Amino acid sequence: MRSRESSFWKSIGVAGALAVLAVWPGFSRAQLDLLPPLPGGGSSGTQTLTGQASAVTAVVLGTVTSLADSGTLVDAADPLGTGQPLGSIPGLLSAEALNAATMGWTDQVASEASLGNLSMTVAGIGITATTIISRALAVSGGAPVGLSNIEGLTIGGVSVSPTGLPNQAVSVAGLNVILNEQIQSGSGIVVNALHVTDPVGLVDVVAGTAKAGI
Amino acid sequence: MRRTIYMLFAIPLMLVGTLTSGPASAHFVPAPCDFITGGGWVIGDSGQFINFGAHGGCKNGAFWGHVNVLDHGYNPPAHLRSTSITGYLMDPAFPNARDICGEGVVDGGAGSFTVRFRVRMEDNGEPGGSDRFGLHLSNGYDLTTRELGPPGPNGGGGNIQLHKQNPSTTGPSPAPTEDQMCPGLSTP
Repeated sequence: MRSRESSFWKSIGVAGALAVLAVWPGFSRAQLDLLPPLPGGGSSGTQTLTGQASAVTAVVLGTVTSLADSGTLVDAADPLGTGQPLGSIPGLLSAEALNAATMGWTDQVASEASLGNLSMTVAGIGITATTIISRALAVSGGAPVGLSNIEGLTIGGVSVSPTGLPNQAVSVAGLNVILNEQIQSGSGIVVNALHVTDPVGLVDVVAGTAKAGI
Repeated sequence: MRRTIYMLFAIPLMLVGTLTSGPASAHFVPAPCDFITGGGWVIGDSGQFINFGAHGGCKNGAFWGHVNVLDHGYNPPAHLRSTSITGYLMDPAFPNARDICGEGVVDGGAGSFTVRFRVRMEDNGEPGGSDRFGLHLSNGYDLTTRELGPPGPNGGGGNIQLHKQNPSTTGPSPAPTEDQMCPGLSTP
């Protein structure tokens, strides 16, 4: 009887202690700090990382202009990013809340570009969108993945619904538009959320570019 | 005997309640640090469009990121541009959310002035309609955290992505407290 009672009290004590430890975030956090690093981080090692993001890149008559360009990723310990509340290329486009970031790990690279309230005119045709986001993810040993979000898109005043499929082509009055353009290579992917070229090739605009490779 | 057993159950439970009442609401720097990125728009309390683009995390023993927000409820629209990032925090109660704190400049509306800000970004999966965004400024501006979508009169759009931990991108050591990172600013 005494032995059974002793076991009972031990069980109660252990249960109480476990209950305290399980729900006390301060303890959990302290323990997490002592754990060795999780796989998937650390220096870039022998992997070659490539990544870049740009909210807007435009080529007009051979002149290249970029808005919110993260720069080129070279190290997993050195994520790159930039942003600006407003951006414009006079006579071509304006946008809001431009954002670009590229980040690396030992086993993957992720890049993302976004912008809002895009208003653009190419060859006299107006193009607007409430939100544009492009994402690229390259994982070591796996196929790279691209994704675009285009919301509230109109071309020439007509609403256009993206299918979500890669490389959706839209042609309006000679204007060539590609939605969710994805260019795969052996080492990575380039995702252009909205790619517009004029009929004579004088204007080439990409809104939302994300590149990732490993 | 029954009373003793009751006390042995009750004391640990009371202890749990006491210990969790404080730390459970404390926000801290994730370790190892991770990243959050996103862009989109929400509808403000007056029905106005509010666009945002932001990213945050840790880098080289400091905090890293940019925050840009543009509120069309003002004429001209008021926009926040971050100038420094002073904190990157997670909330144990919302493990998919991260708060980015810093200093920035507001232009438009009532002119140009410096503020401290606290942004909340929450990734609740794809395609992003359930993701959430909020903003609190030191001048009293408070955009309570709300869902991005679905697009339409009652919702905005966009997407927020919480990325995995990266031990090679470190924050300050020792990690500052929530009040040091976001002085006087509660979660939006």
